[in-house]
Amino acid sequence: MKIQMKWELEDPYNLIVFMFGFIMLGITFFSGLTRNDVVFMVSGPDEIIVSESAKTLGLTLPRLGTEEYTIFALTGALLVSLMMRYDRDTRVAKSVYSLPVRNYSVVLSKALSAMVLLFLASLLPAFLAFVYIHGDIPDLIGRALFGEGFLAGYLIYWAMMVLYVVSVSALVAMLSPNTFASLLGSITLLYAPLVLKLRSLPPAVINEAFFKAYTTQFYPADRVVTFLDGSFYTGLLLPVVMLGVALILSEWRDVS
Amino acid sequence: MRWNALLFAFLVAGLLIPPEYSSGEAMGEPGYLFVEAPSGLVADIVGVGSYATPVGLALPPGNYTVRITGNVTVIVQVSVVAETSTIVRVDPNAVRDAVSGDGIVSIKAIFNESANYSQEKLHPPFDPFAVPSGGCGGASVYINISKPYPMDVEILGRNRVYITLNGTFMHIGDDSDGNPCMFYVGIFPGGGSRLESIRNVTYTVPWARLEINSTPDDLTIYLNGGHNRYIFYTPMDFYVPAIPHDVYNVTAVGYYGTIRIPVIHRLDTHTVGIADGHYLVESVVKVAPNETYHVNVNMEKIKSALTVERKAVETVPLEVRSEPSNASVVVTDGVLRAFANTPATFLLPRGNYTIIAFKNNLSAQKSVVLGGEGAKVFLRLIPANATLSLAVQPENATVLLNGEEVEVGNLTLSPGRYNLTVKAPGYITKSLEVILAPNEFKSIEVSLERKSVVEDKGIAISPSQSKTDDIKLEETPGNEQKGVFNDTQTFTTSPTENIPNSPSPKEDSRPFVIKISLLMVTIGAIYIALRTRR
Amino acid sequence: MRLLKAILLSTILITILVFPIEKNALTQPISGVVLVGRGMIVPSSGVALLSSNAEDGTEYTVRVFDPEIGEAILERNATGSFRGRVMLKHSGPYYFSIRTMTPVTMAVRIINRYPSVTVLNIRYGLGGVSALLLAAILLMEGRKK
Repeated sequence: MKIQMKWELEDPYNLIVFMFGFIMLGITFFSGLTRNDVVFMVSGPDEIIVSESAKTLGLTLPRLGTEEYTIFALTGALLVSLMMRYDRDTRVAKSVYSLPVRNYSVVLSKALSAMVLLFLASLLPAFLAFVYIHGDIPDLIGRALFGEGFLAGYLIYWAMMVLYVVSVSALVAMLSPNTFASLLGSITLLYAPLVLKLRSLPPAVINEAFFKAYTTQFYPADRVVTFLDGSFYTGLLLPVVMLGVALILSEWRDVS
Repeated sequence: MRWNALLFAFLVAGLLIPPEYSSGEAMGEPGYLFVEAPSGLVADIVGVGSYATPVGLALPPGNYTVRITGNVTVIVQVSVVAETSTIVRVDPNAVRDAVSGDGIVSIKAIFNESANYSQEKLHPPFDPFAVPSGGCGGASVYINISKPYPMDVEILGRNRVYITLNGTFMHIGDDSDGNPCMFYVGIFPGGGSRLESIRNVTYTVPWARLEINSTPDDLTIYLNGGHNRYIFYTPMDFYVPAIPHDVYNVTAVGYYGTIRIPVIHRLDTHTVGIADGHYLVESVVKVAPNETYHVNVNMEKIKSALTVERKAVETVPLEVRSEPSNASVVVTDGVLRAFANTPATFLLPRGNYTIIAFKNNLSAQKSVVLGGEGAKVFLRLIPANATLSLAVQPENATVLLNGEEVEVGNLTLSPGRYNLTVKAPGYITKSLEVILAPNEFKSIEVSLERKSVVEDKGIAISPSQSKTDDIKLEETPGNEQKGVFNDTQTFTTSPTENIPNSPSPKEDSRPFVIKISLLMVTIGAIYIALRTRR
Repeated sequence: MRLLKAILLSTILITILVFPIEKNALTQPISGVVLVGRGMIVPSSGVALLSSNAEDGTEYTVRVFDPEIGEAILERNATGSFRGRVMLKHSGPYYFSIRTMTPVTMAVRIINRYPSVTVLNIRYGLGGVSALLLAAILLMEGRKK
C-alpha cells in the first residue's frame, strides 16, 4: 500500500494536475486576500481589540468561496478520475490489480494519495498567499493560529473539504464506465450544491460551521468541537460512507 | 450603416430627454375620493376639511391624507387620480379586533400608497443571535431609536434581546458565574452605543417583556420607530425598559470613578409597529416592571379592514350660474360633495344632485338630475335661514362654529358651509364640516371619545427606500446626561484566560460523542464488509 | 522527489505571478467611515488619510491602534474639524476610533498602498530558496545520469 501510494504521488499526470490546482488556488487565494477589506467593530480596552483583531485575521485565512471551490473541485475530480479510472481505461490496471493485494486496498491507497495531493495543493498555497500578504505581522498571525485556535480548525477544514471531494469523486469513478464519464459525473455532483444553492451540503455547510464556530465560541477547544459538530453529518459521516461504498464497489466490480 | 447610426442616435436622444410629468393637463378634471367608514366617524382630509363618514369629494388630482381619529387611529395616504374614484374603505372596529394583546393603550393603522414599510430582511452570513456565552456583554446590532430617548439593542441570545436606554444603569444578563452584568449605557443615535461595566448601582432600570407576534410571520417590526434589518421580524421577544416614574440622583461606580445620573425619565410606554408593504400598524403598549406583554397583529384582517380601491368613472358637465355671481356652490348627492364658486362647471358622475349656493345671507337650492350630456343650472339667490340643532356628549364640551364658540341647542344660521369643532378636556377633539341648505332643519349629534392615557410621542417611521444605508447620521444625541460620560469605553467581554470553566456546557458535548461513535461504527462496518468479502 | 519538485516549481510560479496581481489590486484606495470605532484589515502597508468634521467646539480624540505592536500609532485631541495622516507600516488589522461625547464621523482613506519591505523579503526569500533548491535537485539528478 505504501509503495502504491508512493507510486501514485510520483506519477507525472497526477503531479501536473497537482501543480494546476496549486498555482490556480494560490493565485485565487492571493487575489482574494488583496481585495480583502474586512472591517470589524469591538469596544473595550486594547487587549480586547488585539484579540478581536487576531480573530478577524484568522477568519480571513483563505477558504473556499465559489471561485476557489470550482478550482478545488475540478482538481480533486481530475486527480481521482485519473488515478482510479484512467489506468483501468488504459489497461495498465490489469497489472496493478493482479498484484497479490486486495482490490479495495489498491483503491484506498489511490484515494489516500489523492487526498494527500489535494490537501497539499490547497493548504500550501493558502498559507503561501497568506504569508505573501500578511507576512509582516508575525505576532498577530501566531496569536490567531495558536492563541485563537485557528490552526487546528483550519487544518480540519481542509481535511474535511478534501475528504468530501475525494470521496464523491471516488464513488463516481467506481460507478462510471470510463475516465471521461467519471470526470464529468464527479464535477457535476460536486458542483450541484453550489448551483442549487443547497446550504445543507458541502461546501456551504463546512464553511458555515467553521465561521459559526469561530465567531460564536471563545475557547479554541470549543471552537474545534463546535466546528466538527456543525459539519459532522455532511462533512464527515457522508464522505466516509461514500468512500466506504466506493471501496466495497471496487471489490464487486471487475477490473477493466 | 449610416442610417443605423442615425436611428441609434435618435433612440439614445429619446432616452436622454427627461420624461415630462403631466400635472397641469388634468387640472380641470377632478378625481373623486370616497371614504367609506361606519357612520358616526369623522374623516379628516388634511388640507381639505373634516367630514362625517361616509363621504365623497371631488378633488384636484394629487396626494391626500385621510385621518380617522379615535382610540383606533387610521391614517390613509392615497393619491387621487383624475376621472377615477378612489374608494377608501375603513372599519376601525375590525382594525381594533385585528390587534390583540395586553397593555395596548392605543392603535394606529397606517396605509400609505407611496411607501413601503417592509424592510428587506438581511440574511447575514452569521447568526445575529449566536453570541459568545460566558462573560458579560453580548452582540450589539445597530438600531436607530432616537425618540423618546435614544435606545439600542443588545443581544444575549434568541430570546434574550434587550433594548438598552441611553444614560441609564442596566442589568443585562448574568455572567457564567451567575453574577449580574451591570452596565452604564451610552447611546449615540446613528453612532452606536457603549456599555461600561459598573458596580454598586443604586438603581437599575426594570425590565418588561414584550412578545410580538403577527399573522403571517416574518413581518417587519419597528420598536419605537427603530428597526434592525437582521433581527426585527415577527415573531420576536424583547426585554424593554419599564420605568414607571422619574428617578433622581442615581449613582454607580464605574471604571473611572463614580457616575451620577441626575434623572432617569419615566418610560412606561413603547410603540410597537408591525409593517407589511403599504401597511403599518402601531400599537402603544404601556409596560410595568417585570410583566410580560403580548402584541399580536393579524395583518390579514388589517388588510381587509382597510382597503383602497380605484374605479374609473364617467363624468358629465354640470354648469352652474347664479345671480348674483361669485357665490359658493356645493353640489352633493348625500355622499359626494364638490365645491366651487359660480360661475362654475362641475364634472360629475351621472346621478341626482342637490345644488346649494350661498353668498352672505343669500342662498338658493335646487335639485337636478344629471344625465345624458350634462345639465345647466341657474340659481337666483334669495335671503333664507337654516336651523342647526346640536347635541354633544359630554355635555360640558365646547362647540366652535367656524372658530367661534356657540351654545349648544338650536341655532339659526344663514345657509352655507360650516366647520364644527367639538372639544372637551380628556376627550379627542372632533371637527367636521356641515352644509346647511336654505330652510333646512338639521340636527347633529356629536359624541366624543375619551383620550387614551398616552399622548402621541411623535415617533415617525420612515418607509424604506430602495437601498437605505443601515447607518444614518442623526444630529441630535438627545442626551441629557452628556456631562457624565467618561471618555473611555469599557466592555467586559471577559478575556479568554480569566474564566476557568468552558462555557459550553457538558450536555453540549454528549451528542458530539455520539456522533463520533457513529463515525467509528460506520468505519468499522465498512472495514468488516471489506474483510468478510471474497 | 517529483512531488517536491512540483511543489517548488509551483511556489516559484506563484511568487512570480503575485506581483502583477497585486499591482492591479493595490491601485484602488480603501475608504471607510468611522463612527465610534472600526477595525480594518488592510492587505498592504500604506498611508491612511483621516478627516473628520464636527461642529465648532466639539472636542474629541482620534485614535489609531496597531494591534501588532499593541500601541496607538496616532492619538490626537481635536476640536472642530481634523485632518491627519498616519503611516500604516504593515498589512493587517488597524483599529480606528473616536472618543467623543457627541457623534463625530471620520472618513478614512488609505492610499499609497504597496507591500511592506518585510513582505517583499519573504516573497523574494521563499521564491529564491525554492528556485535554488529546485536547481540543486535538478543538478544532482543530472549528475546521477
